[in-house]
Amino acid sequence: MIEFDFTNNGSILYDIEIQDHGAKIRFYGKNYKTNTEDHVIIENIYYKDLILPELFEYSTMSTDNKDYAELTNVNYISFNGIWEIKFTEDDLKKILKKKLS
Amino acid sequence: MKKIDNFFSKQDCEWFLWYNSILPETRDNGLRLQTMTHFAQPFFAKKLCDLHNRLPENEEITTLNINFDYGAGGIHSDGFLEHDKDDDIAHSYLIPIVVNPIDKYFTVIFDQISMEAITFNGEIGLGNKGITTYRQVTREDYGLSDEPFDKDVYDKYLTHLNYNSLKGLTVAHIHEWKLGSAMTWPRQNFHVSANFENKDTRASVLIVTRYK
Repeated sequence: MIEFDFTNNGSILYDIEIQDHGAKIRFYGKNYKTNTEDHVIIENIYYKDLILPELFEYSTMSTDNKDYAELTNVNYISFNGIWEIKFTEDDLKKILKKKLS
Repeated sequence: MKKIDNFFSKQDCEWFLWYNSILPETRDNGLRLQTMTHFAQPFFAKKLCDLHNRLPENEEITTLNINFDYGAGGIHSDGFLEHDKDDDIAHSYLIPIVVNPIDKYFTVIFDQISMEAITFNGEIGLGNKGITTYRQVTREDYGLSDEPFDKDVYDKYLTHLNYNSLKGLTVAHIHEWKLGSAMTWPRQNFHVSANFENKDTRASVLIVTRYK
């Protein structure tokens, strides 16, 4: 259904929960004292084999950093937390209409 | 003129129906609702690779569209158009993605050929229906003979056309539609949809290729 390309630079771990029109990814295990530079990049998003990086606009992330507790449109992960994406068929139609106009 | 069974799985058929539902534009060409798939767009690259993996290694896709037929088509070849006249044309692949199980559908392939994409639609009584980019020609333009067309084939498959307009054409093969199976023929061969009863019950994906 939905798939991702990841680049993991460091020791952050992640679990993916796939949903009908979205996904929830839990990033964890980063040690902020010893591994400050560790990060994960979500390089791309595929939905039903279509390559749709525009779906990042439908992503949010809640982190364990109080200064960056709630983020939107995220593909660079440097905090532990929950990254989530949710979209609808209408969102997909809008994306394709924009790409093809 | 071979048929490739299970070219598409049931999931593939459903995928194309879903993809059709999210594309912004479908056009009505008088015989079918046709959706261009924009297969050359970067967002389609993964699916295009998947489709190419199902084709012979020396062929590549030049046309890919989704068609919901509500009328039987006219006689045409899928040869080259002006913009791709230097292509080394290869094959047409017609893959049913929706069929009514109680109906039978056929596509008739003729022996006659044209390397250019042309149609006899005007000549056979369909006017401009079904025409988008193909050049209309007459029987005289093409040089069809006055040999009567096979009456049995006409009565069984092609009663939506004017019988006399088929003079000079001979049948190479008759494909029966089967969900997910690819019916193939060389692009230059004239072909036509057989008549069918229920006009809102079938859909297909058309893949047209050229040699690399």
